[in-house]
Amino acid sequence: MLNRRLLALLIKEATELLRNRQLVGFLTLSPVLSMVIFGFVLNSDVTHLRLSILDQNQVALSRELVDAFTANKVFLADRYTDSQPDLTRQVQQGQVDAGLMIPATFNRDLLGTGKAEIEVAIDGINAYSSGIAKGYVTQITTQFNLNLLQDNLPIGTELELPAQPEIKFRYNPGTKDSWFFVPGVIGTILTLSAILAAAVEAVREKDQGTLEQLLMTPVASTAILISKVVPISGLLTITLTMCLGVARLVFELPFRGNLLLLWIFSILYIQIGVGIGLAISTFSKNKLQTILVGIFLNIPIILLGGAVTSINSMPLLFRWVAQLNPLYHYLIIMRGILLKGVGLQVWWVNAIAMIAFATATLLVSAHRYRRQLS
Amino acid sequence: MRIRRIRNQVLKELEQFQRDRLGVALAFVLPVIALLIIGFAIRLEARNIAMAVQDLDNTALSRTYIERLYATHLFVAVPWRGSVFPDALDRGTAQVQVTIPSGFTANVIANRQSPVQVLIDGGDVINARVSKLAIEGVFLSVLQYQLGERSELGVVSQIRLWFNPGRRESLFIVPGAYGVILAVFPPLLIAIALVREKEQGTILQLYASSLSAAELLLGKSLAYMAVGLGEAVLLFIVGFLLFGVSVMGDPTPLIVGTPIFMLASVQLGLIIGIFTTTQSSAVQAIGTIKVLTAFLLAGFLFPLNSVAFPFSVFAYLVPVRYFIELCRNVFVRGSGWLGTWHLVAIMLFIGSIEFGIAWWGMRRMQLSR
Repeated sequence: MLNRRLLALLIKEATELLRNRQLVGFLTLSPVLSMVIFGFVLNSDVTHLRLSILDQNQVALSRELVDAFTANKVFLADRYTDSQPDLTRQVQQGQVDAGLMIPATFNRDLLGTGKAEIEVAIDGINAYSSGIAKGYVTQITTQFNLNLLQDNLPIGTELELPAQPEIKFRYNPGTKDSWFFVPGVIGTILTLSAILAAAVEAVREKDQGTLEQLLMTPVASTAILISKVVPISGLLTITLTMCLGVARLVFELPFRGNLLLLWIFSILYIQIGVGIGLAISTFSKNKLQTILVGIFLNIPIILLGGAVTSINSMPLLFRWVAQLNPLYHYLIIMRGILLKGVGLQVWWVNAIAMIAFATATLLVSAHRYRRQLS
Repeated sequence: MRIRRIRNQVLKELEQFQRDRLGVALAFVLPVIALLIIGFAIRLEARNIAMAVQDLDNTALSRTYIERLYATHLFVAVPWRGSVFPDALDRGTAQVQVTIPSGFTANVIANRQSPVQVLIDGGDVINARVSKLAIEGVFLSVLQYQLGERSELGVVSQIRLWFNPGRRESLFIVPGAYGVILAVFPPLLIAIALVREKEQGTILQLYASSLSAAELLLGKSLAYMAVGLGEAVLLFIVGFLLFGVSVMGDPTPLIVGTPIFMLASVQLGLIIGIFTTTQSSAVQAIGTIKVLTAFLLAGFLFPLNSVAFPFSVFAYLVPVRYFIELCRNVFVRGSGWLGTWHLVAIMLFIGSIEFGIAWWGMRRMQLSR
């Protein structure tokens, strides 16, 4: 008997969800669309830094140095200036990202004393990109010096560079940004959608007062809860499957590990999100509070979970906090399966953590939801 | 259009908003907590990258290289775990593996090629790029040091990091966080308020009254712009007290720019409120459009220079991008109006277009369907 009631309730909830066309669109199409857009946009490479050039020397050698700076796509010769104050002002106002100053005595110093100084001013606001830019500047000048050395050797002899690193990137030989960011964006979108949809749907009936009608019917409170959770989870599972398919087609993401396991743990992650959403709804008094807390919670979950930032760079305290973040564990599993092709033997700890999170959130929210009903 | 009607509309909206005391508290406390978490946790400068080194040579030279690698302060040592699957890289316990071959020193002295194998986890592109650059830099610097004995020729680059010589991350993160947070919370509030009126049917009274669409929109916008400005001031104060981020030079670009950004930010919430019919879809729209774009499309974490053409267009449409740039100018660069006037102008432009769209969606003041 219970099963028939549950089924009826499930059908009611599912039709109600599907009838809200806009919501279905936001839960299925917009995640896929966002994933594609952000997969293309997110880019941690530092290129096309606008460089302002002040070459007070204007000889062949100084121009060679300028060429060395702008030869690769790291620096872009954005503008040339002829005065120091101009250059200062351009960096100051953020019109350029870096300035290169070659003094008038550059070639005389270099050929006369063997040493010449140049000055590179980098907009240091962004610690990430300015750090990378600094690394490139050092590399460019060192390479320039080695070339000078090569030119001064007797003809026929080669400069030997025996100790060279042979750097290979495993899992992602082309260092494609999308291979790193797309799993992160999928995790982000699932977090946002699951938490918000579950939280808002759970308070909807409370707000409209139809919950009382539901309580008068002879269905168990567990059945009400299940009927709320299942349609949203089902819809998001479809979304996830579409996301993975599109990621494969558009970004050629390698699917190196067990796809079934990925699917199972993704569904588990959706349950965690739904559980968190339900819990929020039971803790707050009305819709506004639910929504505010729901949106807020997404910020730490997403930013501290390693979706688009590196956990290892965070202060120690937050590296520990990350262990309490379900998204952190889900992303290790997802990237492990998609990119590394590793299985349970590597990420079993994360798997246990996720199962624990799912159990805890669903138990807490079920308990609170039931108490709210009675 | 009557000023008095708009004023009453603003007062009514604020009155309704402040009735839910806990909601009001959340609307001001949650942004501050978000700022604290972001400001204290997010670090963009890479560090603590786990590196496992296998030194098959074990000579003074090979140890010099290893020392130099760790001297970059980028890597932390983890034990070498062999190369059988799953190795340290597969397990994620190491992100970089370096193998110095046996006979390395002998080969280097004899000028024979002796490549050092470096394997980097390319799955994490951020750490991979930084690691590669640092390792190449170490090898070049040791090389130049050794060659230096043979030649005196060399260009020395004096690198100066402007505005932030100590590389304080909060100077970058906190002004960015202002933008991200203010792009999410005020539009959320206005969208919920508008859709609630639709769901409860109270909007019919507004439709039936003599209020015009523009008056209605202006009233609601101004009310939530006021709430948003309150949040902004609170964030600026907390940012100053806890992160030491203070206004550099002329504060007027901020004083003028913040309300204009709030206009643009709130209008998008209004548009979402107008075109969605239920609170659930409005919240999902805010979640996927506002939260995602603010985090990922506004230059909050990574510079936007590297975004390829057709997709870079998206980034130009996001008003938060300009506000974050404005905040960085005012709080860090101190470049005054010369470096910021165009940002304010673009935000004003986007805000007006958004108001136009909102007005167009609302103009009939009729129930849809």
